[in-house]
Amino acid sequence: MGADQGMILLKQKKGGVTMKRMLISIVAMIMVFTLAACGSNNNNNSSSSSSPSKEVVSEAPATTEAATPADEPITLKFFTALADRANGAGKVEQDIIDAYTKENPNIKIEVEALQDEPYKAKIKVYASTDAIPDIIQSWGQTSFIKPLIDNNMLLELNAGDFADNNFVPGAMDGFMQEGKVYGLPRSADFLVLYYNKKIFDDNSLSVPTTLPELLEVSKKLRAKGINPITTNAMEGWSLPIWFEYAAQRENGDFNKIDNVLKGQGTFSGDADFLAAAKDLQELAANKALADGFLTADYGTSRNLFGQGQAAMFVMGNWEAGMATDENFPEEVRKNIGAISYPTSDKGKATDVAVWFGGGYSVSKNSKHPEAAIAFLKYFFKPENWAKQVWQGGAGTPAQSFTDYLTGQESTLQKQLVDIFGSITSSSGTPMHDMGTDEFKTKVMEAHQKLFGKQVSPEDFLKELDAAVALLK
Amino acid sequence: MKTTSPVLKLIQHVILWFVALIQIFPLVWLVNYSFLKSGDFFGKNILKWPAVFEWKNYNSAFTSGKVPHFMLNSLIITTVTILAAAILSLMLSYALTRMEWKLRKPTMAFILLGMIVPIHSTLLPNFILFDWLHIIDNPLSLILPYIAFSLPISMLIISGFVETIPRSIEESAVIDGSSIYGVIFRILLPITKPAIAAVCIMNFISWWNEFIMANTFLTSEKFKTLPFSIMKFAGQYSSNYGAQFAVMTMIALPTVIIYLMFTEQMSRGITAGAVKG
Repeated sequence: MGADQGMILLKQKKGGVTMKRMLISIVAMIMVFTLAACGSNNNNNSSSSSSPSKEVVSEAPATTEAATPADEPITLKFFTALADRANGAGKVEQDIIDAYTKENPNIKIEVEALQDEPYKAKIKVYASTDAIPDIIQSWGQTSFIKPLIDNNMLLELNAGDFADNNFVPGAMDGFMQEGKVYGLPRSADFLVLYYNKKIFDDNSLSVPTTLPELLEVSKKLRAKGINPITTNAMEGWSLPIWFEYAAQRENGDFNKIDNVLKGQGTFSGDADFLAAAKDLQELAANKALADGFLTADYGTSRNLFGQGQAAMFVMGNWEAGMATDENFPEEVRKNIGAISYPTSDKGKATDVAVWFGGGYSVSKNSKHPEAAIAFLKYFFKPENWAKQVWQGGAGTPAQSFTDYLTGQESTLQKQLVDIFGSITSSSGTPMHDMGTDEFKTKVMEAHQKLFGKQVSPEDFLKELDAAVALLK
Repeated sequence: MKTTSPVLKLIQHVILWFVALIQIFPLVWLVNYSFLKSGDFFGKNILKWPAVFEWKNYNSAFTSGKVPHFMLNSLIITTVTILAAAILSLMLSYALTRMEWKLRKPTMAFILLGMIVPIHSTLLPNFILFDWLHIIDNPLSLILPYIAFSLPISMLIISGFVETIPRSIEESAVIDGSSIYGVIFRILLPITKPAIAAVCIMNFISWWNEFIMANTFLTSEKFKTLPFSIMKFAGQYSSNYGAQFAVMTMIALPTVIIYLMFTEQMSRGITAGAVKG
């Protein structure tokens, strides 16, 4: 009995010890993480204090530090929507950042890169806590930039600082509000009609240059069992830009849509808009749109065209890289060409739907606004972004880049440069981006219904008017 | 029990095989496409035998996708989460099923209320709170909410199981001089192992792939988890789908292995708690 009790006591003690050990290890675990938190926190703070943290020291060679003692270590937070850092525009962006931090060892740039949608979701979280990173990607579109400006989150930039960067005239318009500049555009985007020359040649057809030809060619392609036109109708943002083309080809003026959005007139009741909507629906009625048109997202439609299963692809100039994309069969990629949208007697090929896409803004709460602006000046030096993005085939910069044409460009790139260089009138910011999120959704849905033949052209215009009513 | 006719049995088998194939198909599709070039995606065929196996996809997943780094992060975060959740829910279950105290029932209801809180509604408040506590971009900012979201359902399953255990075992332990912790960890823990295993596997599956919280609370590369690897291959417009599928195959692998290994234990653990209605 006594021995038994002793055993139990002993065991209990043992149990007590394991218990304690478990508790201690849990506490230790929590402490490790909390310490880690303090550690990383110190790093952030060190940017404002003069004592450099270990990490910064290890990155900055002692010699340069001695040479420029005035340079205090600065950490800039850089938040971008170019998630892929190893290819395309994301690589160019990262290369410039790396070059800059190499030249300026006291500056450390922490990059946070997310994909488009997660990016836009997270910027809202940041905005609600005043913790916006120093430099953020922004879009020169009311739907994105206006709430940030209105809530006093963005720093006003001095356009004169960037006079040497050769921005294309009007490129900053989207980033301006009440005459003040809040961002710098990165790229110039325009919608074109890509075509697969081989399909046209094989079927002895010629590439359409006018609207009637487009319809005619589509009918013939369809009769031969080939998908005529594809685009990313599922996401939907290419459709309103397409409609801007269609409307311009009917009324000869891109500004008329902008006027309606400003409250001058309506869509319904306008004979030209109605004719434009009818033109588009006629394409749909004659099966000019690829099978599964409305359920094709970006990747699907791009691959449909790239695999040679569709003859034409309505998409932006940034797809210049398709001509060299080894993911696609050679017979397709060697034969891709691009033209401006087919013309009418009112709209010419030099009237192009062009706008300025993504860019950068500086946070108003930034602790180092001068450093952020200095970096942007470096970034937009013509030999940096403009040259590298063009020569890398990753898009068209919003700056003059004629000095950097190499002569090595693909035929497709040359065709795109010709279109860009010949522009006589331009559409500006796409219509769906000129309002709130709700407006954008409604406009895109209306277009999807139009292309899907779910509404009549008249009702489509009414739906657009209903969307515009949301803006007031 | 009636003897079933062979015809009926055949039909049964055909239906079951059909269902099984539908269930397995996404995995086959995933592995298949991870060997294709991005340009081959969305083609005419649902499955496509690769002309050349694109091992490059896996290669880039490891290098530019940083899979090993992110996998280690995911592993640490999920392991800490499921261990803490298991210990806490076992202790909670004991307190809520065995101990007699005044606010026992309301407390239990309050914890179960956690099941109906949508994750998205907690993102912003948690971000503000963590920002204030300076644990943004820290594993704790994921581990804490993960544990919190694991607790209600884990506690429900384990306490269901605990209720089926005869009290006399604990009573004799107490008579023999065991403390409360002794009862929980030396008597209950071994008996509730199946339920705890089930809970751990369930939590593993739900947090291994978690993205929205990780996306909100992490900023630097240092602590990012596996789902971010997929994003590394997302271009501005179109993406490197082949590499993304390679990453997804590797993310799915541990889940599949664990599920295959423990599937029986898991269903046993969950149903055991449900016996006593």
